[in-house]
Amino acid sequence: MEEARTTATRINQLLATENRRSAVLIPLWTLAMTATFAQALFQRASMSYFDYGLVAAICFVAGIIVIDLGRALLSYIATMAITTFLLITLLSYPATTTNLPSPGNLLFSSLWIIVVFTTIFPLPLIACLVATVIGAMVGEKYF
Amino acid sequence: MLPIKTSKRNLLTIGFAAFTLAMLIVAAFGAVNYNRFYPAITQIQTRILTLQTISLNNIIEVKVAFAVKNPTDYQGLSLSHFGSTYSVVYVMSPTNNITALGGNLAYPSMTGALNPGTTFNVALATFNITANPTQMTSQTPTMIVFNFQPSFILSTFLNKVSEVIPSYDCTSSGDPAVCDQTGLTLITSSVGGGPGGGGG
Repeated sequence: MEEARTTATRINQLLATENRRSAVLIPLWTLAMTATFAQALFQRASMSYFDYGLVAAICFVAGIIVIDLGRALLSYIATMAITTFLLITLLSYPATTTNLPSPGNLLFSSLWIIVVFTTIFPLPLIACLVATVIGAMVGEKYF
Repeated sequence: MLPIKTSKRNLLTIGFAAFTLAMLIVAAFGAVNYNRFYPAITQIQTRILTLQTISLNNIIEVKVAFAVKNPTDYQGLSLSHFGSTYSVVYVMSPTNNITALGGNLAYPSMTGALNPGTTFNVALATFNITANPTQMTSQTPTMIVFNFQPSFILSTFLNKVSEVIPSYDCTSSGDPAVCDQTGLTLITSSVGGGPGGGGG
């Protein structure tokens, strides 16, 4: 019981201020988005409607946690920028480190950049932004 | 345990962290398989299974069969649209070779899974070549060497965005031979003006 109380206190301390909460949430949000996009691209090189739904749900929940609309928008921009960078790196890295014969060695990296951008932009980016805004509004009302 | 002094918002953050962890585990499994993809496509082996020549007067009938093998443990590859070009080198003497460009070998449309460790045998192709490239002198070649450049479409998880086409180079004068991978071409489909193919 005491241990649970201590853990709860630590979590409360970790999330005590809005800045601390953002410092925790942005990496979590980025990892969740990257993992969701990556698991789909690793398997099919494309996203299913379920994957897009999952991404929208992540943004919605993140919006609820942030609550503040301005902070949510800034966090969202940071998250998407880092997610895009991480995805391109994760997908391209194995292609660049394997000794592929030409021209595949050059084309795979370009292919993944295009795949990532067509997967994220523009509709999913806008949809996720809307989900974040709605989440922030819901959070403001109920939390 | 935790809800003792934890707000709904903090609980939601904890739940979000747990979900993130779950998604990371799912993505990690995908990443492991994805990391095996590139070594797999470079290690796909193509070889000349049989190369038979039958002399018919001034014509030689050539029968060639190829085999494609996935020696890796990567699952999810299959083969389609096997094709090959060939050329013939007539070795007339140690210092005199005559090269004849052959053209394309006709293959029926075929598809087959390249499961780990399994070999896919490509249908036999037959073509004719002249037995004597120098009709005027009637000098017969001491050896005939065949060069094949097979390639095929490798169906992968990338099918929605790109076709992967490995190409090989095989040289044989009649014996089974292992082909060298010479190139890897990508042909993009639905990702717009993406990177196009190119010869290896």
